[in-house]
Amino acid sequence: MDTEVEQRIARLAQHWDTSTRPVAADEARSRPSAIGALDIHSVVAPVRPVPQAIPARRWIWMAAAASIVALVVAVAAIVREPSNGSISSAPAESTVPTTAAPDETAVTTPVVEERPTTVSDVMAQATTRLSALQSFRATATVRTTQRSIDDATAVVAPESTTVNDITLMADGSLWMHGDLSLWGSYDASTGMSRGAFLAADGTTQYQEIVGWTDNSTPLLIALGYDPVMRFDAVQDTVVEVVDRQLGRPAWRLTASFAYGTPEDTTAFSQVETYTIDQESGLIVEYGRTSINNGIEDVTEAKISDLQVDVDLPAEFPGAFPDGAVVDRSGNPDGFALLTPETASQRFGGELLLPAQGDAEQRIVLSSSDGVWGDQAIPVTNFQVTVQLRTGFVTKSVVVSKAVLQLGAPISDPGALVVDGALCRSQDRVTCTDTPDSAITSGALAGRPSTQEGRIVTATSGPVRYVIMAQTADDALATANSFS
Amino acid sequence: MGFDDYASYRDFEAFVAAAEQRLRRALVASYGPAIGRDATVDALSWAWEHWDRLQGMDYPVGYLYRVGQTASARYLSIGSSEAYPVATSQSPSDGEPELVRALGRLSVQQRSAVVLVHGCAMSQREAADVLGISVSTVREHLERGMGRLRGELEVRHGH
Repeated sequence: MDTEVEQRIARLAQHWDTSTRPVAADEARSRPSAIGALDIHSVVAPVRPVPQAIPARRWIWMAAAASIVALVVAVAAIVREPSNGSISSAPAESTVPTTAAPDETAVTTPVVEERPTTVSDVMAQATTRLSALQSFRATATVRTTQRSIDDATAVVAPESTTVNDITLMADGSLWMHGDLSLWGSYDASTGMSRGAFLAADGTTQYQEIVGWTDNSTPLLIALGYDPVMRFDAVQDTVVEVVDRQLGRPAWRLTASFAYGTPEDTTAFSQVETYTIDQESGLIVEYGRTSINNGIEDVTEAKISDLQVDVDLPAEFPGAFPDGAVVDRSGNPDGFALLTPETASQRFGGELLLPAQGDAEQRIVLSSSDGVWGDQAIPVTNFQVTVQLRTGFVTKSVVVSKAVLQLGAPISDPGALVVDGALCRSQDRVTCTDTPDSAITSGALAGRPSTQEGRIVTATSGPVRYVIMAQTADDALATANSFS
Repeated sequence: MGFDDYASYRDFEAFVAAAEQRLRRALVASYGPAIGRDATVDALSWAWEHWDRLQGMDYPVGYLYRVGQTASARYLSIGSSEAYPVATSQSPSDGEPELVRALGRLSVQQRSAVVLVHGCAMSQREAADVLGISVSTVREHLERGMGRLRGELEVRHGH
C-alpha cells in the first residue's frame, strides 16, 4: 500500500506531467542542439566500460595492430621522401548511377608529415584545411551489419552495402546518384530536397520536400556520417597517424563510450573511429561498433575517388518530367533566409549579431508556441540562427527569447517581463544571471556568460545567446565580436 | 523509395512519439519542469542531428537522458534559479512546496528515481532503462531518497 509520501509524489508528478507540454518532433528538428557530438562525455558522470569479452579482445588486438602500424609509419616517415599523392582534379560529372566497388587496391606506402598528439591539434589543423575547401565529389560506400556476439554465425540483420556518388558544396547544397536514388539533391538556397527513385515494380517515383534548414538528412543517407565533425578533447579519444587508400597521410581518432555493468542488459558500449584526410580536412572513413544486449551493430563508411573544388552538375537541383506524379511534403514555412535587418525586425527588441568578417552569412528565424517556467506561462519562443561559414568550417549563433503571449496571466512570482520577454528575477527589477562574464569585448562584453569548450552561452536580459564554433578559441573570439 | 524512407525522417517521428514522454518525465524529475522540458528539446534535437548514431542503440532513451543532463548543466551554468523549482514552487496548483523543497535537497539521482518510480509509476526496470543505470543502482537511490523524504516529511507532520 502506498504511503502518504508516495501519494503526494504521485500527485506532484501528475501535475508536472500535465503542465509540461510534450515535445513534438518538429520542435526538436527546428531547434539546433547546443550540444556537441562528444560534449556528453565531458559533462556527465564518468561511465564504466562494459567488459564484453569478445569485442573487448578484438579491440585490444585492433589497438595493438594500430600501434604497430603507427610505428611502421613513423619509421617510414624517417626514411622516405614526401609523397606526391595529391587530390585529383575534377573530371566532368556523370549522372550514371554507379555500383562500382570501392577502391581497395590503391594503398601506397604512406608518408607522415605531421604528428599531432591531441584532439585539439587535429581539430586545429583540419579546420585550417576545411576552411579552404569549397566543394568535393567522391564515391561513398556505406556498409552496415548486425550479429550476435555470442554466436558469430548468427546474423541479426543481413549485411547491407550502398555505393553512391555525391557532390557536396560548402554551403550544404548536394547532388547524389547511385544505389539509393537515380538522382537526389538538396538546395541550400531554397531549403528544398528533390529526388527520383526506382520503385520495386520498376517504375520511377519522384519526391520533393520543402522547408529543410540543412542537408543532414540526404547527406547522412549518402555518406552515412557527417564528413565535417566537431571533436572535443575527451580522455578516451586516441589520436593515431595512419595511411589511407589514396596514399596521403591521414589522422585517425578513436573514441569510446560505455555505460552499465556486464550483467546489466541495458549496458551499452560503442567505439567510433574517424579517419581524416590531412590535405582536405575531411573525414574520409568512419567506423562505429556498438554493442548492446548481446547484439553487435557495425557501420563502416568511407569515401574514395575524392576530387575537390568541383561544380554542381548542370542538372542540379533536378527537374521532374512533365506530367510526373511527385510526392510533395514538408513545411513551406520551415525555411526562410533573412537579412540582418529583417531578422532584427521580426525578432523584435535588441538583436545583437556577431561580426561577419570574410565569412558567408546565413540567417534563419523560427518561432513556436510553448510554455515558460514551472507555472507553464503561455509564450511564443523566437529563435534566430546565424551561421558564419568559411569553406566547410561553420560557426553558429543561436539567439532566443520567450515572449509572453497577449493576455497571458503571470502566475509565477519569480517571473519578470522585460520588453515583452520573460526572464527569472529575484529582485523583480532585473533578470537574475550569473555575475561572471567570459566575454571581454564587443556588445556582449560584461554580459552574464560562461564558456564550456567550444560553446559560449550569454544572456542579455531575457535574450539568450549560444555561440558555437569549431574550437574553443574561435567560439570566444566570435562571442567577443558582437555589435 | 524516397529520402524519408532511407533517412528515417518518419522513423524519427515515431521515435519521438514513443520515447518523448519517458525522456521528458526523467528530465523533469531530475531538474524540474522548466529546465527538464528545455533539456528534453535539446536532447531530441541532438537525436535528430545524430539520428544515424542513435539508431545503433537498443536503449537510446538512456543515452538521450545523458544528453539532456549535459543540456541542463548548460542552463544551470548561467545562473538560472529554475535548477529545481525549490524556491519558486509556490503555486496553488502544485500545492506541494514542502515536498518540492524536500525533493530539491535530494541528489539528482535520488529524486529522479523517486519521482519516476513513485510519481510516474515506472517499474525499477523502466527507470533504470531511462536513466541509463542498473536496476540495483535505482533501488539504492530509491531507498535512500525515500528514506530521507520520509524522515523530513513524516516526522514534520508527526507521522
